[in-house]
Amino acid sequence: MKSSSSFASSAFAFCALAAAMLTLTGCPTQQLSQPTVSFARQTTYGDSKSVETVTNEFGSTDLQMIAEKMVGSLLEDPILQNRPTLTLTAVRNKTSEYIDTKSIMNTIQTALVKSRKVKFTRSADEMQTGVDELQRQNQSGLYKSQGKAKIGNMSAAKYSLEGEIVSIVKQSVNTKDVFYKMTLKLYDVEDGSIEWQDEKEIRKTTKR
Amino acid sequence: MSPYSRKIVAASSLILLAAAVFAADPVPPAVSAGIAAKLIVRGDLQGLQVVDLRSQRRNDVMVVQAEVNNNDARDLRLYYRFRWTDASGMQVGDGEVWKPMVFLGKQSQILKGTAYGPQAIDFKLEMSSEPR
Repeated sequence: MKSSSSFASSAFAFCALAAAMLTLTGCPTQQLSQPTVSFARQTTYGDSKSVETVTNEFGSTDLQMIAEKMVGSLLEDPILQNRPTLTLTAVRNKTSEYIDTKSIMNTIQTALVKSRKVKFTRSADEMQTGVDELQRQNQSGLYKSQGKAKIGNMSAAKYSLEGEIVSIVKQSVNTKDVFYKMTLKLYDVEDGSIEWQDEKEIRKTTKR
Repeated sequence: MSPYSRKIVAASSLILLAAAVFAADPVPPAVSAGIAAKLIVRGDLQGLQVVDLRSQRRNDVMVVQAEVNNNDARDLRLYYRFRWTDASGMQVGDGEVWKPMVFLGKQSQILKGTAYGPQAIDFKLEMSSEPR
């Protein structure tokens, strides 16, 4: 009797304490649902600016760091003082892996265009689309004379931006080291001289 | 306890107390309040400290240089990026990528950032660090 009454009083004390804690902390609020399609949440969005170190192959962070360095270096240079016209040429991939060098140049071009300090003209691989549009406006007979783009008025590029990316890979039993170097040059189209040049080096090391 | 043992215990306690006192004094992220006003620090920089911060305009774009010291003997990895704003406080550009930089123990390095265009007139340096 004595043991059962002591147990009962202990249980009562525990319940009273739990009730008091709940009252003080408040009832847990109901978790709100989120506007997502999949409830399993196996895939999530990440930060596109965060550092990616999934493997030591060329990655998104390398692309962004290279573009940032090159754009910053070009913007500081007095060669861009009078808003010159530029064109992009091929960036040679001299590494042993697949790298979309056009996407590096697109990122650089986007930043330079948004700075309003340069004017880009169509690159060689973009010319056909422009020529097709001009021909459509002038030779199809569909467009009014006023307002249509005239053939023969394209601006030629004063400078061309070209470069290459190389890599040096070294590995031992427990270390793999990859060194990337991207070199970008600004050529004067008319006289062929290099007016600006810079490079970005990246080292990625993996412990096996 | 013998008098010799008591002395050992007392000395050990003093040493532990001194270590606790010095350990409890973290290195501030900036060497001055003026520099600290330009920093956005995530948590504790674990011994990294910005000792110099200067900016200038080159070809009408803002260029910023920060000198960072590692006051700790451990190697640390710093993640940093610059945030640029225009005259009305609006962010210029879509935000920079986080850039990693390794600091050996007691090493000093320079961080450099160039704004996206002439409209950027102010900046903040965002930093986060971890042991290497």
